[in-house]
Formats: sequence, structure tokens, C-alpha cells
Amino acid sequence: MSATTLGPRPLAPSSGQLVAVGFSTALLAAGAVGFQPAEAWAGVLTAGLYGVTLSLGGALFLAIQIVAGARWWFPLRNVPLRLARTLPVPLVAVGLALVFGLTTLYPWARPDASALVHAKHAWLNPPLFLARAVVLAVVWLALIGLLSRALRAMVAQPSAEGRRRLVRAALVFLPLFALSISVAAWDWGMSLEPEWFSTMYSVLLFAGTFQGGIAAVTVLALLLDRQGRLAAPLGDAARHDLGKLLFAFSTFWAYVWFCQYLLIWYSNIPEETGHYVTRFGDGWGALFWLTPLLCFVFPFVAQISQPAKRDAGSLYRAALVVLLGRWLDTYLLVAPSQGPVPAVPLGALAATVAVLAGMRLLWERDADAGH
Amino acid sequence: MAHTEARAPERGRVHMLVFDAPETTVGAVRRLRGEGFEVAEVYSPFPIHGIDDAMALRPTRIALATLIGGLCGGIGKLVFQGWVHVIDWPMDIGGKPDTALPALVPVTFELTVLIAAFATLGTLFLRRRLFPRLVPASAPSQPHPRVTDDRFAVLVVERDGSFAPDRFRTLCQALRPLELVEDWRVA
Repeated sequence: MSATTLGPRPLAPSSGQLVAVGFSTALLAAGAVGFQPAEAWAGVLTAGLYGVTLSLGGALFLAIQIVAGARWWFPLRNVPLRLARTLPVPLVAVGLALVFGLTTLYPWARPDASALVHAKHAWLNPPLFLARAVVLAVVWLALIGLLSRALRAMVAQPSAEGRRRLVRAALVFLPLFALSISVAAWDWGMSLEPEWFSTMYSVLLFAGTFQGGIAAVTVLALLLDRQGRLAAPLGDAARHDLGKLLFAFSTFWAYVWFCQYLLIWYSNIPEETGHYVTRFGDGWGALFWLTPLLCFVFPFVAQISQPAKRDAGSLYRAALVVLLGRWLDTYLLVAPSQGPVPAVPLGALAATVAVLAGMRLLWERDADAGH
Repeated sequence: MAHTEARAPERGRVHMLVFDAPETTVGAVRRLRGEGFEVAEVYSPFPIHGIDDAMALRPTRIALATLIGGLCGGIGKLVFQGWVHVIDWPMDIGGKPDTALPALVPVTFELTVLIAAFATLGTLFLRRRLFPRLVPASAPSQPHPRVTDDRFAVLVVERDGSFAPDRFRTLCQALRPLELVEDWRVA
């Protein structure tokens, strides 16, 4: 990677700067709540969901490499681990949105919900909804704690027993992750439009989580590699593997994204089309069609050749574009249910900066602790 | 299996070194080539990272065949479906226009993947002359029964008089293969 692409500046600004950024954006978000509660809470939920998917995507990356017995990722093993350990920050944002934005964001939580929505009361009622969110958070944090302890023990003192424990932790994580991300998708995303339903919805969030995790790990690994802060320098082969993962799972995301669209487009039943009608109108259309360009077309075309996957600069750009696309996709999951497109999505941007800054604080704390 | 230019040693003898780990195999190939010995072939149960570099193999161009196959499959199928639905046999399906693109995507996607895979495999068969024959052109070349399981075999060929047997044996002692078969022959 040439010096001009990334610049020579070190990754870590002072914690004080980060706190300032976080505080000011939180203030901004709080201000927005007063004016436009729906837009503001949608922004906080977007930011939280974005952070949760990136962080869980890191954990998923980790668990899959462990179960597969892969060794190529050892130089960058700290990256998915630290990424997974930033999960508490976005969980707090999601929690805030769910607790304080519940009636603003979710029509089923309002007394004037339609009869169609009321029929789903057994699943969609505030106490059970919030309890499920707590269970999800506890399960994720516990599993990531388990993975992280097992991996660190294994790195500190490799042993056959330690390896078995690590693989077992990853094997517990994987199925529970698939289940829990589906519940999160139904609860936090799909129930924003409670009359609408799609069986592909949770698969789509799963695919997005995987894609986002790979992109985030790639960007962070390349940045740290440039500064020589990885356990070992990344070789051509390791970059090639990251590039292949990014390429493959961008395609997988597009496959699932199109599957949901195609099924609904084909049958063209009003109870199913609402989701897309919302996203084609009120100015959302351009953003909606931009998402597959960022999440699929760009990484697919830019990363199709082997040299492009091995080139740090090209790989970095593609992963960064995917990360942008992931944000847009998450935003479009949430915001269109709350009204027409805002001129500037101030609430969502502010909340995202705050969440990412907070995640970075946790990351730096981990790095300072020498992990 | 690491694919190389499979050169049947026309003349000279072949020696086989057997290892039990990919890293030691790559290291041994580097040392052998570094000291001027010719590594004709490496057999391994799975692809090894870095072995192509260690053996100084030319980069493969098979990806080009995949790309051409994929483009032909995708474009061909799209054109064919367009011809069917618009020109040859227009049908009203759910009130959709004849040119409804989303409906054509799944089959186009499948054919892109399928023809890309066929092109890759076909090119591999053609270039490696792997088509089935009635009479085997040469004996099946598997130098060691466990190279499909957990062993790695490196074949060093004596191409000409520059081969120094003493230096080779000294190097082999340093490389510590599990087995060293001098003057190995196809059984």
C-alpha cells in the first residue's frame, strides 16, 4: 500500500479526543430527539445495529476460522477478537433506542395498532420484546467472553486441551449466533413494519453481518499491518484469502438481497410489497439502489482478479466501500419506516460517529492491555 | 495436488523425499532449488500456501477461462431468454411485461456459474491431458501411497551431469525427510 492511500498518521488519537467526539455527537443526537424523535431514534437504532453487526461479524469470522482449523489468519487473530469485544457499545445504543424509542419506532407498541398487528401480540409486546433483547445481549456477550478467554489462553500457552476448549466454544457460538441474529432481525428490524413479513429477512441480516464482519476485519487488519502492529506481517496469501472472503460473501449478500426482492416482485401481493413500496417512494429510491452498487457491484468488479485481491490498496478500498454500503443497508433497514428521506440524516450520522468512537475506545483499551 | 509442468524425466534418475508437514515441504523445496537441484514435482494431499512460489511456477491463466466461460454463459442465457420471452413465445405471466428482467436473473446467474465451472474444468482437462483413455498413456503416477492422506512427496530429478550426488545427500541429511528414496521408479 502506498503512503498516499492511508497517510502516515498513527491509528490511535488520544482517548480525550474520542470522548469529546462521542460526547458532542451524543449531545447532537439528544438535541435531535427533541425536534425529530422518530428520525433521532431511527438514527440511534441504525448506529447500534450497524455496530452490532460489525462486531458480531468479527466474532463470526473468528469462530469460523477456529472451527475450520485455519492457520492463515493467525497474524491478524487480534483483529476479529478485539472487534467482537467492542460489542457492549453498540448494544447500549440499541438498548437506548429500544427502551426510549419503543413507541416512537415500533407501531405495534402503540395503542392504536391495527387489528392485523394486534394478532401478533403474543410475540410483539413490550415486556417480552425487551426481555428477548436482554437475553440476546447476554448470550452474545457470554459467548464472546468464552471465545476470547479460550483464544487468549490458547495463544498464551498452546495445548491440545486448550485447542479443544477453543473449538468447543466456537462450535457453541455458531448455531446460537445463527438463531439469535434471526431473532434480532425479526424484533429490531422487521417489526418496524409489523404488518409486513419476509422469511428471507433474517437471512439477509445474517449475510450482511457476515459481510460487514469480513470487511471490518479486512480494513482494520490492513491498517494495523501498515503500522506493523499485527502479530506478524500479512503476506500475499493472507491478503488473497481476505479478498476471497470479501468477494464471496459480497456475492452471497447480493444473492440473498435479490432473493427477497424477487419473491416479493413475482407474487406482487399487497401484504408483501409494502416494504419495497416504502423504499421506492419518498425519495428513498436512489439510496435503495445505491446499496447493491456499494455492497456488491463495486467489490465484485474491483476484486474479481487475483492481483486485485492481493493488492493492499485495492483490497482496502473495496472493503471500505463495502463498509459504507453496510451502513447504508442498515440505515435503509430502519429509517424508511419512519417517514420520508431527510435532507441530511443527521441523527443517524451523529449516532454512528458516537457508536464507532465508543467501539474504538473499547478497542484501544484492549490494545493497551496488550491483547 | 500441486500442479506443475509434469515432466516425465526423459533421462536421469529421480529421487523422492517424503515429509509430513506442508511447512517443511515448502522449506525443503526452497532449499533444494536454492542449491541448484531441480524439483520436478511435489505431491500433496491439499493445496499448500506458497508452494507455487517456492517451485517458481508460472502463474496460472485458468482464471481467464473461468471469466470467458462465465461471460458466455451469462450473456448467452440472457439473450436466449430474451428471445424466448419477447420474440418466440411471449406469454402473460402475472401481468408482468415480456421484458421483465428480474425474472431472468436466477437462470442467468445459474448459467453463469455453470458455464464458468465447465470452462474451468474443461480447460484443466485439456491443458493437463486428463481426458479418459481406453489405454492409459502412462502409469498412474502416485509416488507414495500416503500423498492423498498426510504425506508430502518432493521429486528431485537428475537432469544432467551438474547433479552432485554428495552435495545432494548432505542436503537431504539437513532436510530430514521421513523417507528418502534414491533412484525412485514408477512401480
